[in-house]
Amino acid sequence: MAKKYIADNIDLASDLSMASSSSGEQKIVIGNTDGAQTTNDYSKIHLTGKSDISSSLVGAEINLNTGGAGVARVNFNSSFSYSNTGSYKNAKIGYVGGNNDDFYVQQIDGSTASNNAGFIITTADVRLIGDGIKIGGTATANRLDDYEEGTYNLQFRLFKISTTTSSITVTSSDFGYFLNDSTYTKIGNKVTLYIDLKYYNPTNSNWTTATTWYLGLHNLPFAVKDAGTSYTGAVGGTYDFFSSFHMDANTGNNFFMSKGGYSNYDNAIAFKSASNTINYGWRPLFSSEAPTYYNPSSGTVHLTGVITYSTDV
Amino acid sequence: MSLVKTIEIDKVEFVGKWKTIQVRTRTDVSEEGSVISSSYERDSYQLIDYSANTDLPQDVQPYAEGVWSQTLRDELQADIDAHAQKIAELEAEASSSES
Repeated sequence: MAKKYIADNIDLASDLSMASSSSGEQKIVIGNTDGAQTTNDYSKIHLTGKSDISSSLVGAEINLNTGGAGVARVNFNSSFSYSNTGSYKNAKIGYVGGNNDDFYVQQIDGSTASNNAGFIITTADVRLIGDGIKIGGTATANRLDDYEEGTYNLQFRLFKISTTTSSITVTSSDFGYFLNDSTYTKIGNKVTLYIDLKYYNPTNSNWTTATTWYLGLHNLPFAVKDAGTSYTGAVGGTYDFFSSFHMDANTGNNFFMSKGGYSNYDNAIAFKSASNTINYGWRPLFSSEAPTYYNPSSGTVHLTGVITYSTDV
Repeated sequence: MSLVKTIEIDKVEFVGKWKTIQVRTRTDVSEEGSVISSSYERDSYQLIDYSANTDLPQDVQPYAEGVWSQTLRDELQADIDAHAQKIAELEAEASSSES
């Protein structure tokens, strides 16, 4: 079929119908092919509603109805790299009232007081894979760029005081029973560990004899922020958590968490008393012991607690 | 209608001065080709624990090859030696003040 070129505007007194019984696409193509582009010499569709239309009625609307199982979509394609900072961008939606945002949502549905959210997504994710989202400002400090939750293979590690390299990783094979249900949540550069450990009868002899070892949690999901040997986070937890680690009566709550060992250990947190003396402090108890603070009736020690620390990423 | 479970390393990061290797493993459960569930598990490995890159778990070794260089190992050993020296000095100082 030959194309028909129309030089003037088309005034439609009724609907424009393109229904066809033949196969293939039915489409309207608006293209400017007159050579060099000049100001306002572009292709566009305007849908302008009546100026006196009631606020309760739709003034202008585009509906994409598949009529079947197909996909309804709008594509924004541009191969030209224009300015990223100007008013005009390559592919955008919602250029409203002079705002330069790629995606500007003023208020989609303000018809009722209870349904006036600016942006509603009911069945899909919002995915921010690039630079994250800035909240409350435009500085780097306002950026939230990471959220993640998962599990990790928590291990105990014994660090020997006054050395830099002597340490022992105590794995699940050193226990008669070991169950780790610990999880983590990372928000930005803060990591929260939810510790949930059950173990029974650790067999590593260093746990009973060496008072110069202090306990660490090892194989953390994220490396600890480099803060030297100073405080690195906070710990809280249930009664079981503290008592199972048998706080030293001489130091009470006066303990601190440090990055594991010295600066060479990046993926461990150590618990030690402020004086570096252990005196049975900060080591898990044996089921055969009768500690002052905790006497597991079942013979199985259950540690639960929460630790928050900073990471570099 | 069959469920398929896949487990693969989906992120490896090198963090900090000593290039601690953070490994994230993703587990997906798919039904008819669509992922219906996914979860993460993490492990971390630090240079000080491995005298050779080949001591690492096999699937992590390729990542360590390019980062845990001999130069980095030498720097770590120098750092350990410096700490040991500092500790020795502090202990000597504490010992002399007690006596």
